[in-house]
Amino acid sequence: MTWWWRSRGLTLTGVSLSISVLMSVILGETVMPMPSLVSALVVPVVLALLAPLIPVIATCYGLDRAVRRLERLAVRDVVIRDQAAVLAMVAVTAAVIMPIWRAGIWPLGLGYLRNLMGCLGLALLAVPMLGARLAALPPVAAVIISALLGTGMGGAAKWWAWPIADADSWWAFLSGVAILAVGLVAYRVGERRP
Amino acid sequence: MSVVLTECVFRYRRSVPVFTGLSLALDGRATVLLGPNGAGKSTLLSLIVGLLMPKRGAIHVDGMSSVSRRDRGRYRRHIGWLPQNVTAVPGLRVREQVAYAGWLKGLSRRDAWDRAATVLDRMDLTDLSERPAHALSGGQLRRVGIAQALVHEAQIVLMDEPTAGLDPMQRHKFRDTLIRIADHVRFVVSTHQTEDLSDIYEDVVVLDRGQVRYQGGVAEFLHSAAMTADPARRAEEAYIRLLSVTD
Amino acid sequence: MLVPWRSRAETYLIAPLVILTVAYGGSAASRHVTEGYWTAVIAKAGLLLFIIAPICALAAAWEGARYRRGELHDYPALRPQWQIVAVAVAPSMLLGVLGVSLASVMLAPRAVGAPGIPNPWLLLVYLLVVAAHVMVGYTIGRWFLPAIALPAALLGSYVWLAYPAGITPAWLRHLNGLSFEACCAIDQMPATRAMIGTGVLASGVIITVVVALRSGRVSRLIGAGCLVLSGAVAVGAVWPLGPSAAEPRTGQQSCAGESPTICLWPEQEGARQTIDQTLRPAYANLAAAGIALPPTVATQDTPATDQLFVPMEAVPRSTDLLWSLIVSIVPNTTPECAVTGPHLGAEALGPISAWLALTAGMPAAELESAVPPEDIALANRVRSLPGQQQLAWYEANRAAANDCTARPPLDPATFAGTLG
Repeated sequence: MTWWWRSRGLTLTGVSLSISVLMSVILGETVMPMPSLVSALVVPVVLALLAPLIPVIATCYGLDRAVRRLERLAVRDVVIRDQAAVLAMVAVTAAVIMPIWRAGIWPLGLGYLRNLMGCLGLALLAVPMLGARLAALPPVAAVIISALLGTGMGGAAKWWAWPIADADSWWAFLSGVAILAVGLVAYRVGERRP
Repeated sequence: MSVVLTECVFRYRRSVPVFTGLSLALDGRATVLLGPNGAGKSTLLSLIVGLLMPKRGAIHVDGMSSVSRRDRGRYRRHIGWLPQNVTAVPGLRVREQVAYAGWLKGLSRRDAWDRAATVLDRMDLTDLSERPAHALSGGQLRRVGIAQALVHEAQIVLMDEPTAGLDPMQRHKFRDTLIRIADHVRFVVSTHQTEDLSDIYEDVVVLDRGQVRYQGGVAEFLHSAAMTADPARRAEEAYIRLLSVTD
Repeated sequence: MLVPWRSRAETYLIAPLVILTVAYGGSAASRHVTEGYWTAVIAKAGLLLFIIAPICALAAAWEGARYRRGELHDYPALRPQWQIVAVAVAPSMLLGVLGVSLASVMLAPRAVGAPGIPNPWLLLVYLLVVAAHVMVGYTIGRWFLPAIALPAALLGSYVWLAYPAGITPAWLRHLNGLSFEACCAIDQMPATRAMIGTGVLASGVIITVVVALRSGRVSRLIGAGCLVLSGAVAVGAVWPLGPSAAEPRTGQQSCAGESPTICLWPEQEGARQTIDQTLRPAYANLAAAGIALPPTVATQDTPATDQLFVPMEAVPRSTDLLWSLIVSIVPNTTPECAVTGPHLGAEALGPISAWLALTAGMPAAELESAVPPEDIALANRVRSLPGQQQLAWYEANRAAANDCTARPPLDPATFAGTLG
């Protein structure tokens, strides 16, 4: 198990997740202007919603380190461990964030968790199609495209632009959960194929 | 050993077919697979090991099917595999990499750790066992690859071009290794090296453009060379003669 | 170009670059841009660096990753490193040149036909910025595994362009090349300090990368030195700047006519007749009402007291021109006393602006978009007074507009008969 852990660089992933959560809490509601093709020329996006990309990139890096040829012939199920690692990331983040969010200390917590789930899901979905090497690009593209096209008049996010939706949007949260579920399934199907 | 391929059809995506109904049975303890570049040797080994699936036909190893879900675990444990390029697992030392390969094949953590030490010793790699795997030379990594293939006590080991890129000393060591392990495991080796055939192998299979051009014992294979040929180059002569006839 | 196009990332990124640049360029062009002024139009095109630079950085990172995968660093090349790098990044640079050209073309219709040419220095700064992003992307690709390098190049480039605008200190935003997009009114030009700061930093990064990519510790140290030096020079250049990357425009205006003498920028010469026909009668009407105005109208803001600064577009509409004249006479500024407390005098601004506009000859109907109807009604009541009383009302309320504590004497009845 520790060999698998180290082959995935999971310590780095854990550190990047911690830094990302901490940074998001510290930065609070700091925004970053992002280009938009609709409504205003730039839309402000809260940095806490972009920060989950850091652990997602680290996760893709870990998956890219895997020696697939070795693992494809394994008797042990490595894919299920990768899936468990992703779910553990989400669970630990939720465990840390939920109390702070409920206490009203960090209202963006739910948005962070949502984007972590959605971006991880997109990355896992991309692994069988593009390979782990390029898997971090779809989540980054999803955020950029959401900012470019996903706002309506008044700056409100459209229904599909979950990465930039309000942190307390339950619809966007469910989208994040659904994308993670699809990503986990796609990863399982794609990576267990000989 | 019985590795049996029945009417196997395989093609890579958007490519010409590699095999269009290959049937082959490998029964010897030590079989060498010869053939020019692009003959289908690596594809054949990848099919047997289970990295690729035949589009049609079946592959059985000691009665287990390569595509059966029920046999999958036993099948994979039964076979050891040395790919053409052995990759270092980032973050792991040599012994850990070999132990990881064993653990992936279902050994317990402790067994994998102990077995890794044993096979590394057998491969004369004990001195390197604490070195980071990515710091090894190509030849050393190849030997680590053989250790990986043996760590879980596979019954059959498939090796794809194991001596490519090795210097004469390393090739000599590799030959010794094969001779040493031949008591424990059966193996199929694809290679371009035709010298020393008689020292190591029992059977020869020559593949060309997805077809079996020759299958038989080493002695008969060497016999097909001209009697005037230099004894040291007999296998090469036989191989060239065989391929020029079939052209 | 040694790597075939089919294997280059640029081949696959050109479509998103073109589509996004055209779409975003079209969107930017439809917003506020100083019409008919090449410098302003090219400055606005800088907004598209948002799109162009990250895509080019991504393409270059891919090329860096190819170098890494091919283990070319182990290959004893006879060519100097800068040549190898130049060949590798040339297509990404070309993509950048295409992007910057396309961005300029998308905005160009807002200035076509205007005198002058697109500001070449600004274009050079944009190209340097793109080149710096390309070089950094390439280096990231060479130094890190693709799984990290590709998203890091895309995201890092994007964040460096976007984030400084949202934080303080304000000078930080002048280092990335994106701050020019808010420049320029017709009497402004891009701040030289901002151009120098951006250009020096981008050049420094390019030189740093080229030097640092040569093997050896000394090269890396020299590279780091280059970066520190260029960074220091760049920061020194932009340090005194505020949030705006614009500065007053240099060059001579051409002046013509009398009462008033009207001084215009070359871009406004084409509209001189309209400007003359609008401003001269307004000036005469206001003078007849007793309003003392400087003898010269200029479209350049100077401290000279004999000039009235009337900002205007290159091709202004008469109504806008008149309103601009009124705002120049009664600027809607907040006095110091109002920063922390109430500003009771502000109530006078609407009515006196309305009175000035009506007196200058602006039709009441056109005034409605700028002033509340009750202020127009009040101004009409004032205009029913005799001329001297109107002037007294104006001067009293003009003075009261700067008073924070007293309400202005807006009621015309107060002035009726006072000077009769």
